[in-house]
Amino acid sequence: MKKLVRILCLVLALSLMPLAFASADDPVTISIWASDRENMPMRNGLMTINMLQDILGIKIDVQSAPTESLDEKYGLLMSDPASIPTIVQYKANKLLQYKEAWMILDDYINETDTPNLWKVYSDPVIRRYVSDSEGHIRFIGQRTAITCGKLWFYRQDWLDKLQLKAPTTMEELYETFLAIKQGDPNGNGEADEIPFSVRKQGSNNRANLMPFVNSWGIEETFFAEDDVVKFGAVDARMKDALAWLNKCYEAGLIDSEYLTLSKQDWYSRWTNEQVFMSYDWSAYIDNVGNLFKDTDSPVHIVGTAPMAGPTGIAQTRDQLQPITVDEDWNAAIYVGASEEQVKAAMKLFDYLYSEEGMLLLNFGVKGEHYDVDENGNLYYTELIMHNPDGLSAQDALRQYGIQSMLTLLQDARYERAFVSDEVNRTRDLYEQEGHIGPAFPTLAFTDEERDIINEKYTDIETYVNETLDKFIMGRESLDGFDAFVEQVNGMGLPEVLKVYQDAYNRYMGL
Amino acid sequence: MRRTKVSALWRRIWAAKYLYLMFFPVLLYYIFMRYAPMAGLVIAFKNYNAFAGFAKSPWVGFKYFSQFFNSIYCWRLIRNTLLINLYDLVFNFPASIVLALLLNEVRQPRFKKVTQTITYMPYFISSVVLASMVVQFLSPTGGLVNNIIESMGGKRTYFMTQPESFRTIYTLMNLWKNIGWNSIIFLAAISGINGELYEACTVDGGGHLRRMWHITLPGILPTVIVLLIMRLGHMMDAGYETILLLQNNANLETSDVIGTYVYRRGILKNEYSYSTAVGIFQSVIGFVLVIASNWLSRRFSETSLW
Repeated sequence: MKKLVRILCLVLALSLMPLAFASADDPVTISIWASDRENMPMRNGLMTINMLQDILGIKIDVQSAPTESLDEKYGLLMSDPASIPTIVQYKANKLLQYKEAWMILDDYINETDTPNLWKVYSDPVIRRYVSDSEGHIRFIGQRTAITCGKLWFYRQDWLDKLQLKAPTTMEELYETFLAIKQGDPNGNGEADEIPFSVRKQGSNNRANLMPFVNSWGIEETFFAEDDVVKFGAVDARMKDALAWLNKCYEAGLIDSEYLTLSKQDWYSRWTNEQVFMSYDWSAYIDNVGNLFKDTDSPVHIVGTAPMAGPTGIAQTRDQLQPITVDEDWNAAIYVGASEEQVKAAMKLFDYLYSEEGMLLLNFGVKGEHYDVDENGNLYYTELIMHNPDGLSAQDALRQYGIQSMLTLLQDARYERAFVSDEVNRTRDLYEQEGHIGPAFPTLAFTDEERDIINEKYTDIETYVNETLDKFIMGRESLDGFDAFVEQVNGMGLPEVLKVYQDAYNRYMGL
Repeated sequence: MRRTKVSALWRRIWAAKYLYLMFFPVLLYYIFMRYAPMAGLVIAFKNYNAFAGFAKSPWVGFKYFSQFFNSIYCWRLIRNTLLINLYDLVFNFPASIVLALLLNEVRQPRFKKVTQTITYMPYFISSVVLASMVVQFLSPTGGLVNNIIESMGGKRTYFMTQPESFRTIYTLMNLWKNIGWNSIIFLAAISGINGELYEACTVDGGGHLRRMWHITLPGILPTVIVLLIMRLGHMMDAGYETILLLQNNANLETSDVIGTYVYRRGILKNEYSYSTAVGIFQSVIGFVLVIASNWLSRRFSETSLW
């Protein structure tokens, strides 16, 4: 018996040895909490993550959170400070909600230690995007290379078939929709055409009809006009915009299932030759076109500029900002991280913003994923563009963790190398012809301000959400619009607007 | 005198030591998973901040309760929650009893087993899948239900956006999902009824219906009452996950229940104090309902929970 105890002690001691002798020059481990999407993986073992560990001499542990329930997961993460990893990547407004959880990075971003970050964030306009209500830098964002993310597009072949002119104003667009509905361009003898259809994105799918409203010079929720913050849903111009949407809805010109249509159903509406027009991320011009690859449909999808509203405004407003604050890849460092971890994290960020890191994260390894031609232009190799496993170029790239969910410096060449000439042409049109309207910034609020918003705006949001859809679907007459405005004001909109105005003034330095 | 009483108690416990041993993990579960977390309820009266911790978060008294009761949606949320539960209670609760009674009368064992399996099956489908099936079935373009309506000469309807259809859809979905599962316990209760009673009834000349009315139903009545009392405790909470999946802006008028509202404000906006306050309100109502219905049941019938 005694012998057995002795042996057991020995075994125990031996098994604990590696712990005791953990050497001092083991690499620092930093953990990253990040959203993980099916088509945009962010996991341990990705090629880029492994290479970053080797290059920087650190150990990276990715804690993937499925993108579908991110808000919920984030809430749970933040309710238990002990579980927060070194770096958390999320939407800017969500990060700023827990300001005190994140390191102030002002002193860490400087010319000597982090020259690449300094190059971007010393610009006061860019700095605003990553600052809290007191002007301290709280996170590092993803620097975008292009501003035009979403586009309007339609079937040119249907316009040609019915000998219709390309519409340029909202009124012409309505006429075109009608002509499509009645002209039977798919030739099956039924008026089953759906002139405008959108797929479900996010939980509030009406948001995908709201780009129409931009042509009236407003946005659905908060926007600024001459530095005055306004609320679009109660703006007088919203009434006209809703009247237009309602007119289209009643005539069957807008997909009656716009609130619930899944991506698959949306796709099958295209392949059933029912859809004429949509609004989506630019790559969808190509994605939708590819649906018809093996058919003999004469489909020809082209991008188009936004339609001009009554005052001639032809803009989209939900485009990309220089720092993508609305996306899931803004990276903040937890205050509980050790000094070594903070240093390692800053080293990582700085590398991601360097030329070398930019190439690795946007293009991969030279000779393997991309190459350079004699004119110095970058191009993706066959492995990516015509993947032997039959993956699309984007999926082929992302399986290596290139263009993954890690915050990074984007490169315009990446965006251009991927998409068709039609997408590039339309995107240039938007950027050069002023079709990209001012975006309302993501504001940083103080705790007191946030209290007011939480108390008043939750109910306002619910009320506005359900009432706007009633107006569009005609379940409530637009004669009730003024009563609606009054109700929203009675629910405390003026107080909320004041809070937004204060935060906006701080942001703009007014 | 007292000593002997205590030792008598110990002796009784010791005699049933294995039963107590089996009960022990359950006791631990209730202490650690049900009672200990109740201390966390204190955050309903505080402006809880995870970084300040329980102790340091400032007290705010009944602020979050009054915010909830002052919300213009308060009454609508309570009404929707109660109505959805009432529908469930009136239609789905008796339905599983009826199914159990019907299955009990089936004399073909094979047929009985197949029917039982078919009715249990939907219970094991995940609610996400179930909800998307419902949306698919009800789609105005190509949905099964609308195809049938149209083939019979009716007009296609977009049910998911009609507030007046929501409760029916939700109740029918739950009926389909739960009826088989919920009938299991009643079937078990029926099989516990003494067979001699049936024989005696047959001898007295009672047919199927008489036997069902005078023997089966009174036999399972205690089970029904206990389940009913427990069900009443949940009158203020509706399974918000499934509702959330069927909810859209257009049907919010009837589909917005306390659970989904708390999810929007408490979980998505990370206001834990607020959601805790509403949770307390729900639990208090549920508690009162259980006590009241138990009292009524004890008064008017012999069965009660305690």
